[in-house]
Amino acid sequence: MAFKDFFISFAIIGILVFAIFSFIITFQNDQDFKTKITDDALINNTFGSLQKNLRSMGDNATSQKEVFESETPTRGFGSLVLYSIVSTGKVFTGMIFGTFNILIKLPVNALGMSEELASVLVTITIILSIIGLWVLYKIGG
Amino acid sequence: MTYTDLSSINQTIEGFLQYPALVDKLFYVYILTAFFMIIALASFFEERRLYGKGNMLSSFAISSIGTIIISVFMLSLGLFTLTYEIMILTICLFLIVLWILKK
Repeated sequence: MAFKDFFISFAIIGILVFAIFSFIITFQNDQDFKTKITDDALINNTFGSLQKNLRSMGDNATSQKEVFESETPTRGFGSLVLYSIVSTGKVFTGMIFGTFNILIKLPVNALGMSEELASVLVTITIILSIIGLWVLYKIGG
Repeated sequence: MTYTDLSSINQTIEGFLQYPALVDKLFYVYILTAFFMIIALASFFEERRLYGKGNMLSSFAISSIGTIIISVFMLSLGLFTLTYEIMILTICLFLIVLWILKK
């Protein structure tokens, strides 16, 4: 999977999970529920962290756009070299892992998913992002 | 020992619906599981009938969205506890995440 697709998938996952939580929280507040989903510390933390992560996405993207625009491309072997793509890759990988680390806490804590399985999922995500990032650095997409 | 019977019902529609959960706490979790499987399998077999090939993961994901909405309504009526709601929510979200990553 290309880095761009990988990042977009995680961004959509973040938005979708956030939308589902928002629906439940808004519905429960409107209906004045006795037991609210936000009473649970795990859900409350996940929702808060997801909100922070999604808000920071726009700021990070804007700052990376400015870095990209300020750079003058130099000629490389058969291509143009842009060093700003490295920092863009690092920032957006951090955002993928931000979303992943927030969401992996749900099955680990609520369902008692084993640490071994969580570790395998982390490994798969790391490998996919490293390979995607390498392709991005090498050929720009 | 006092057994739970029809006289234990609170005389409201909520009380009537809550009665099976007084006997078995997991009653509505079973109902939700059945709902989830019916929607998922119906979606899968209909897709296979129409296009010749079905995608089980996408059927599970679509069914998960419906299950989450129904579970919120059930929680509002006090048909199960918050612990079960969080477990249902986590399982459904896991399937949705898997589906988006697999696309």
